Formats: sequence, C-alpha cells, structure tokens
Amino acid sequence: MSEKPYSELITIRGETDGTNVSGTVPLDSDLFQSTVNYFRIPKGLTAKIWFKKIAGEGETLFTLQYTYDCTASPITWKDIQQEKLASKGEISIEKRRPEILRGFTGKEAFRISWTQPENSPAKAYIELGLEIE
Amino acid sequence: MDKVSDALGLMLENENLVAFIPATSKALVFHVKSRVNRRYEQLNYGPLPLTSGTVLPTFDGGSVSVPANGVIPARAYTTGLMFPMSGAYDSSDMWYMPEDYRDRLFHVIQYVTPAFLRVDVQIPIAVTQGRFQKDKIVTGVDRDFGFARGSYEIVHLPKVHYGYRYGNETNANLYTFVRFIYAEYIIETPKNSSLIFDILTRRIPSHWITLPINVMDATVERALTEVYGITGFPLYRIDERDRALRDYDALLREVKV
Repeated sequence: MSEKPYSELITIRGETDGTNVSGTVPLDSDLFQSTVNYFRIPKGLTAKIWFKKIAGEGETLFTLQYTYDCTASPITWKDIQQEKLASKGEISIEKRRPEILRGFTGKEAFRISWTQPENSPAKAYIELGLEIE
Repeated sequence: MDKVSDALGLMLENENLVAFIPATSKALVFHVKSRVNRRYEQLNYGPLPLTSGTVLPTFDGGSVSVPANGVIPARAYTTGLMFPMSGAYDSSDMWYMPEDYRDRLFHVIQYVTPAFLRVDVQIPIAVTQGRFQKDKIVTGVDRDFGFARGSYEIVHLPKVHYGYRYGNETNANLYTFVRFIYAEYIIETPKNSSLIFDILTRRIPSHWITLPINVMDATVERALTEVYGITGFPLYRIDERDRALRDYDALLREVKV
C-alpha cells in the first residue's frame, strides 16, 4: 500500500482581548472555519508544539493548559508550560524537541490562557507551530 | 515503492496489479498495458464535496449542519461521499465508469487535508464494509477503529459507486482539501492460467491492493460479472497448482477483458 503516515502541521494563533487582564485565548488557524477556546486531540494521536511566537504591547504570561476530559463540566485544566513576555516586544521559541500532548481517550484538549498585571490590560498575540500525528 | 510501481505508488506499464477481495478470497488480476495519464498523475480536487446546510451525524449522537461548503463540522462524520466532476460519464461521481469501459481501471491514492481526518470507503456506497469478529461489530469512521487517516489507496471497479466517509474528531470546524494521485490504466486479464497462479502465489511480483470488501454486496457481484465476466480468481495453496490451473482455465473462458 502507498498510504503515507499522517501528519498535519498547523499554525494556530490567538490574541488577548486588550480589555481584560486574564482569560482564554480564542484559537484560530487557516484550517479553522471559526475560532475555538480549546483544541481537542483525536484519540491515539499526539499534538506536538514545535514553536511559539509571542508578541504584545505589555507584560503577559501565556499558559499552556491541558485537560484529560474536555467533556466534563466544569473542565479541569492543568498547567503544562508558561511563557512570559516581560514587557512590550516579542519572543520566539523554537523547539528541537517538541512539547507533546497526548490523546489517550479522545477527550483530551489543550488551550492557552493569559494573565497580565492588574489594571494593565494589553493586546498580546501568540502563535503555535502545531503538528498533529 | 515495490518493483512494479513507481515513486508515486502507481503501476509501471507491463506489470501486474492484483485487486484482492477478502469477502470471497478471490482476486482480480490485471496486466497494465498502459498508463494513459503518465506524467499527469496529480489532481488537486479541492475541498470535500460538502454543501453548506447538509446535516451530518456526530460522534456524540446528535447531528450538525455543514457551516460552509467544504467544511467538515466539529465532531461530525460524513455519510458516503462521491466526487462530482462536470463532463465525466457520471457527473456526480468522477471515478464511476460503465461496463463498456472495462479495459480502463482507476488506481487512486487520495490525500486528504487535514491529514488527521478519519477516512473509510463504502463499496458500494451506503454499504459499510468494516467488520470485527465476523459481523459482530461494524467498524468505520463512526467507531473507534476500522478507518485510515490522511490517505487512502484503492482501485475503482467499473459500474460501482464508492462512498467515501470522513470523520472529524476535533472540536473545530475544519476546512478540507483532497488531492488525488491517480492512474487511468488500460488493462487486460492475463490469459495464461499458469501466469495467474504464479502471480497469486506471489512467485511473480505484482502490486496487491486489498479492497475493503468484507461483505459482498449483490451490486458488486453483479458489476464484476457484467464488467469482467468473473468475480475473481480464487486463491489456491502453492501445492494445489493442478486444481488451480483447471479452475483458472475455466474462468478465463468467461473473462471479458
């Protein structure tokens, strides 16, 4: 058979709303017809995050969060990784080994949340280089 | 790539292609005389033929509307899809050919974007073929197993409409795209029973494609008989050569191409 291993590279981006100092980033991509607050990982597959690019007008902490069950109510999220933009500017993080998030049951998902200093909301942007395989 | 196919996974001319049918343990054996679209094997079809407003079932037990043309909704799977093409013999199914096109065979390798979508095929359309423990469980894109992801290789038998199904397990509505790497072969059945035996016992190299047919629908059986004159050559053990040759000689008298 000539079927090849499946692997899809997606660039996912999101931004803060500029008015609140914390929240969840709506995720968007050229593949997404509409934004989502989290991305559900298909069962048996992995989500690999190869790079992150962050830009913003002020101090922003982005947190990668993961859940084992996005169908639960409420959803329990655990922090996996954080990246902090210390002030206005941008950072780019390339990974030689990716952050791996696994789909064990098909209910796993990840999201990006943000926090900013009190009374200092600012626009900030995050881009993820995501591979699903 | 094996010795009989090229880097695209398509057959080289003057080689043999075997389409094996698990339901009957029979195989169709084709000698590829020519590949008429050589050097033009790529067909960027475009989005999946999903029309805005079409209602699809979901993995969670409900239903959802297609939000825009070519978009597969979150948590939804399609029913059998055919690929329309204006001007084709059947404009609703570009891979369909009638029985008088029996000397033609489409060998199709499909690549779907996003590659993590589930894919399976119904032969004929609306007849799901995935099975586990005989008929105990019907598998496919709507179940936990019995599907491929990202790509699918198949041959399209004339006079049978295939139905492709796709599943999107994620929570995002996804734009889709399909690329076909295909060959339109001019084929014939080898007329030598000894050669057929050697191909089916793998003494002579050939490219095997197992058609996902676990339930032989009457439509397919009738189509095979009308198109090729036979439903295939049974597989025999290597020590059953004499019996096989007698059987194959009898079948070759019925073969239409």
